Amino acid sequence: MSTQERFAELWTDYLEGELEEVDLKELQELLTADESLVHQAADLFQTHRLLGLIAAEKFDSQEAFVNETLALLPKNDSDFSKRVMSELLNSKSVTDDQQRSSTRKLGLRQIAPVLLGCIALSLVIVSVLSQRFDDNDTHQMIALEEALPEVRMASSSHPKFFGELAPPIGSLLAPQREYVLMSGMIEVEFPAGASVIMEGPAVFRISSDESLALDVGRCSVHAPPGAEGFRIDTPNTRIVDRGTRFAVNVSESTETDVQVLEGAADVYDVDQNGKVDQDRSSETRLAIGEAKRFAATGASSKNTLPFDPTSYRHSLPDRVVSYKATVAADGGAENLVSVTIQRGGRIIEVLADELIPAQVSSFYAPGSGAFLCGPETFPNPRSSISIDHNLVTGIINPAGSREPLTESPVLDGDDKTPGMAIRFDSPVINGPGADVVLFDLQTFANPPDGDAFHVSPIVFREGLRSHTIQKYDLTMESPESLYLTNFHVHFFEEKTDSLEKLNSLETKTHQQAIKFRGLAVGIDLSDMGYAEGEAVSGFFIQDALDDAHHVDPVFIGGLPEIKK
Amino acid sequence: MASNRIPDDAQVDAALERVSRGDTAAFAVIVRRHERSLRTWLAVHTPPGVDVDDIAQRSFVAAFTRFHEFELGTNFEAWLFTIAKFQLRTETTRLRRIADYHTRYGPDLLQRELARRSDSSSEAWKLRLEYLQGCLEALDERLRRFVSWRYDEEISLDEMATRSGRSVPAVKKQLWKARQLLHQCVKSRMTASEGGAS
Repeated sequence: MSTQERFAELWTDYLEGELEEVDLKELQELLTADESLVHQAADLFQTHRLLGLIAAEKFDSQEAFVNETLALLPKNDSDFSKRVMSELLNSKSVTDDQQRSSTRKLGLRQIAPVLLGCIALSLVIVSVLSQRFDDNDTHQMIALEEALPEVRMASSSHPKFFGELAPPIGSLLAPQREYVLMSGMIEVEFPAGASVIMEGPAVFRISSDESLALDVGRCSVHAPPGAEGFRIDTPNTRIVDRGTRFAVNVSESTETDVQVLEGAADVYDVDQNGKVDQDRSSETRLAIGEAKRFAATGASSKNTLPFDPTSYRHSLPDRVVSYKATVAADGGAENLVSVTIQRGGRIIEVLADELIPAQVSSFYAPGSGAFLCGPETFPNPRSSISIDHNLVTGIINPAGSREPLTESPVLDGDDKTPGMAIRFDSPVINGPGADVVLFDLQTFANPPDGDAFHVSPIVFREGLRSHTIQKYDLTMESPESLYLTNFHVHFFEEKTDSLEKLNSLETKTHQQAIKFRGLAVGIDLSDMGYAEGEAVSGFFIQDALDDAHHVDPVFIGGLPEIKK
Repeated sequence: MASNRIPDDAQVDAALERVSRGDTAAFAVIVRRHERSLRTWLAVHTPPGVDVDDIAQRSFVAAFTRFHEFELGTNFEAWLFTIAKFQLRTETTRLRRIADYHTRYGPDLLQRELARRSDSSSEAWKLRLEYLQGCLEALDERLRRFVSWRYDEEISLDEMATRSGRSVPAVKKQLWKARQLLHQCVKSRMTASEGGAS
């Protein structure tokens, strides 16, 4: 048999998957000895593959391929938009995190006293770390070669970490580094598709691309097809996903509660050295609807718990996730471009032009003060700045009341209600989650969670009530709160008790010297008692007078109606 | 065939714009437009042991999750293919690290040769696919029957031997011959095409 004939035989066997190992060796030798055979092998291999593709197309594989591919995409519509917003800190924050990785391990009991101190320290910490943001504006791009599987911060809701800011959305979480989530929630995404929602207080580490170590706290795990085998390591157990949803709660005394919502999970005992007990009797399989408590290492008892499906958290609360703005010449954010928001569990990005404009329709402050911010000179009328998309122009520091309104505000006459009324250009329809977004100017001398304020119906009726916002969705501690461009503040030395006076009185202008950031919060009309689907044309805003700082609403917009 | 559902440039541009604004559903248009060229390219460059559709899907998912790095107005297909090449390289590297490499993975020389051919454009490979379809239709009916059994029905060599009343080695020879003829046919059509274009 000639070399060519033998090659034909071996190569056909190879393509048919029938080549024995000994023959493979012979084939390798033939190919090594004769380069023309390599070319021939490649020609026929490519023809073989293309024939397979033609056959697949005959059976209309395109639609199946498209559907399968779409099913593999991240579940949040604007996941990549969020990543855009948070890309800035990626590379350096990881480096910084690693440098701080010597932080000692803390239990909950140890955390408690530091929590109080942390509040006092937070201003200092925030101001120091804020320098990092400025330093990282250039970290926009990641080389393609760096796109290896990595664990990322997918989203967050009011997260507070001990001694540091929350990692930005989309940023990498450093492996083997201890994170202490004091309060709030975060969602962590793993490369194979598993996601974990952590609820503070919790202490955790990313132990690998397929596992998370939870020392204390609560988490909800979703491991979709392709992520089977994802595991949670607790001090005394290893919980391995067998598809697809389970919840874990590790107490301070290291008891581990496991609840299986979908599929199954295998739970193994772990010894004090973190080694899995090889004894098969230590393995427990929990199926859907089952729950068990696993005691500390050494204790043999495994207690059945009542199954509680509410222990599993499917998503983070509805909230403003992030926003985009144009960049002014000084590098600060200026005009709102879009806002990304979670409504009814669904994350959407709304362009600024799609928001329903809102303008101030009445204003009453019993005294003098700084009531306008924006450019050095104003358009006519000045109050028109309340409707633009600019995040540093608006009618600010409205008066207020410590107690929220319980009846309709008085907008005219001698006994007006302190505060300001907002009127939307067209009614806002009360849908799921937030219906209105409000942006607020804030600096480090102000409350880091945002200035508290009341929102009340313009006209009260039975069932309607005031609602007080005490904490914003994007606070001074949120990486997603952007630094704003510089602006001027206009002081009124006379009593400014009407919109007319706001538009006409003399002012003294002062340019702000310190940096402000744009905080944001979503307002749910349901919190004021409006029915779902009800149209609302405006509301009344009062500062909550809980401190010396007043709310500075520089932009208010109604969200467009959700199409069904 | 899928070709009659391929979105046009305007649809693709609009879809890219929508995807950039967070519209996941619009990504279906992108996948529909590029799946054939990507799968074709991967089919002829992916070594044995690697699932072509798996790499193609991973590439689309990576393109989606990294969409913020794509600049609207630039060549999306070129960007997608860069991602696909990286995905393929990652997978082949992973396979190389697996023990018993030669048995699982096949001739290393083949992989090198396939990698060497990666310069050809996706358009050239799509053209080859179309020529191959033409050549297949022109193939002698007896040989075409073996090709159909092998690729459409995916039946075993034994079954082919039973159906054709021949021995298994004879069936293998028919397949070898069919692939050889098809390759020659495509090659000659490509040569003629290149000559006409110059």
